[in-house]
Amino acid sequence: MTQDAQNALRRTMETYSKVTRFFFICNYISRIIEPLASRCAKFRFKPLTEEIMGSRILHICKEEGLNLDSEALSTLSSISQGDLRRAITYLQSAARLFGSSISAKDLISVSGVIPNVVVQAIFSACRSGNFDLANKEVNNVIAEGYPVSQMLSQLYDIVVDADDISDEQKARICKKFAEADKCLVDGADEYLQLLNVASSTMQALSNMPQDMIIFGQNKKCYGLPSCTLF
Amino acid sequence: MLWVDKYRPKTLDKVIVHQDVAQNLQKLVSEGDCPHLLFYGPSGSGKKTLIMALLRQIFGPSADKVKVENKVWKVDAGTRTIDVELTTLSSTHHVELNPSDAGFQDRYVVQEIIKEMAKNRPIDTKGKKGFKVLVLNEVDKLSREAQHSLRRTMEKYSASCRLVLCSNSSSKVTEAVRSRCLNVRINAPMEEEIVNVLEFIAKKEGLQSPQGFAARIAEKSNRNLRRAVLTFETCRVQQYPFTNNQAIPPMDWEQYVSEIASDIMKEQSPKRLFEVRGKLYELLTNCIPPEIILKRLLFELLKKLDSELKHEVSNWAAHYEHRMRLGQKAIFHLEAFVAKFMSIYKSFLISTFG
Repeated sequence: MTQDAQNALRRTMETYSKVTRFFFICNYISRIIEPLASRCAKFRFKPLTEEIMGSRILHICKEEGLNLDSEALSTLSSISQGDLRRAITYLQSAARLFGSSISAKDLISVSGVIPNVVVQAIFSACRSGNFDLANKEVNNVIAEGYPVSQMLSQLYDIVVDADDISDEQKARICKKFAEADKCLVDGADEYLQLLNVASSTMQALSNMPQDMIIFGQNKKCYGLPSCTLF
Repeated sequence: MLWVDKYRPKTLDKVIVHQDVAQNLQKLVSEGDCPHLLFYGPSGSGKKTLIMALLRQIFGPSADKVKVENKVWKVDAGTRTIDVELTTLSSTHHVELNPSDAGFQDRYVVQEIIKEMAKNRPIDTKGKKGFKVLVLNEVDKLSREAQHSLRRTMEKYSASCRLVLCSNSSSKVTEAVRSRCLNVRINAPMEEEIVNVLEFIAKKEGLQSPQGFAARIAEKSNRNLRRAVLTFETCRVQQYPFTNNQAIPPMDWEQYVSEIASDIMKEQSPKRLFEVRGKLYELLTNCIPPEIILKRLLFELLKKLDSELKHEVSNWAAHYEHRMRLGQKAIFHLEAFVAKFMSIYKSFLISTFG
């Protein structure tokens, strides 16, 4: 809700407090204005733990007569990221498509998550420092039809977890991810954005200078994101 | 009839390339019902073929009897009424349309047509209330508002109509719409699969194709099946019987872009830029989409460049393509990219060769 609407609600809440009780549901408590938050008793809901989700999923599987092995269960909890609704949706889609016995691979193909092999292939191409290799991998990702926004978030996980990348390099890479993500939201071409990300990741990993000032032109413009130029 | 249409598989069990997907789809609709679907994948990978085959699987041969209609909707938008004109392709069971043709009014089209479909619900043979299928093409080109209004309508009228969405990239479809559909990824066929299809066609047509000829076409096709089949037919028209060293005709616009690339590699000057502008205009007036031109130009340039320049040039290509999307006139951004490239390349030449 907008700030104004929340302010209006504040009066209403007090006037009708005798006859009405309000229940508010929100994702972020920080987006509720302070006066409104202070009028309510707060209950915080944590993301569900893996055990709780697992037991619930197994319960559904038993009721529906589905066959789910332990590998598939752990895959399901990792791709749904603690979101039980999403997990159930994936489970249902997989059950509809592939019948009653569901493997980890089926779940991945339903959820639209990119298989780890593909993401690793891009990342190791970036490590190799060979532009043409990276270009080939990027072309492959696009031809396979994987969504690039998903690719970015999975690459991000890998980069952040990697131990052998310095903090500065990580920062440089992540900055590029953020820019590319914004561009994708604006509707920019997926191939070009992924290629750009791959090429800058490569540059960061091999510690090439970010601002290519060797050519002595437009020093200011180099390396700045397109968005800041507007 | 073109081979692309002639050999398009009509039913799900006849498909050659995406057999696994087709089998799953068959299972999915075996009970006569299906969830909303979202097909995504690069062009020429067979999304549309699978959708048409799926419709046939659900509704039988009557799904093939389509008629083209040019309808005008009167939409009440608050203070005034707007006329939205759009071409639809419909059978008794489904309606297919390109909502993005309506430009920024796509939102109204989506809402109105779904409401209209919901009003006259078909009744199937058993007297049960059936559903209609709405096929929306190019969902990724739909405006944000249209996608948002789509998700409301999807839920509200889910009893009477199912949506089948078709798009090139699923990142441009909002998360809300995506999570309401069963996502089906259609990858571009591998080169071997394309070869299989070409050999299948050759057999059906009674053609002799020499060893390795189909493989060469497949390699040139960029994993685009439609293009491979079209090229194959072009070769057939140009020269038959096929010879092993027969030239495979490239697309004329690709030839043209590669000329532009070598033009700007040869000389970097305002005069050359002016000449290139004329050529770019020529491409645009022939309805080649600007982002395709830019991508192809980058592809051609990357072939010729030193590896240290590749990073920078691809960075700027991404930059100008993004700008092109935000802006209105594509030619500015194409030209800016060419000018940028010229400046980078010239200073590179000066710094290396003095």
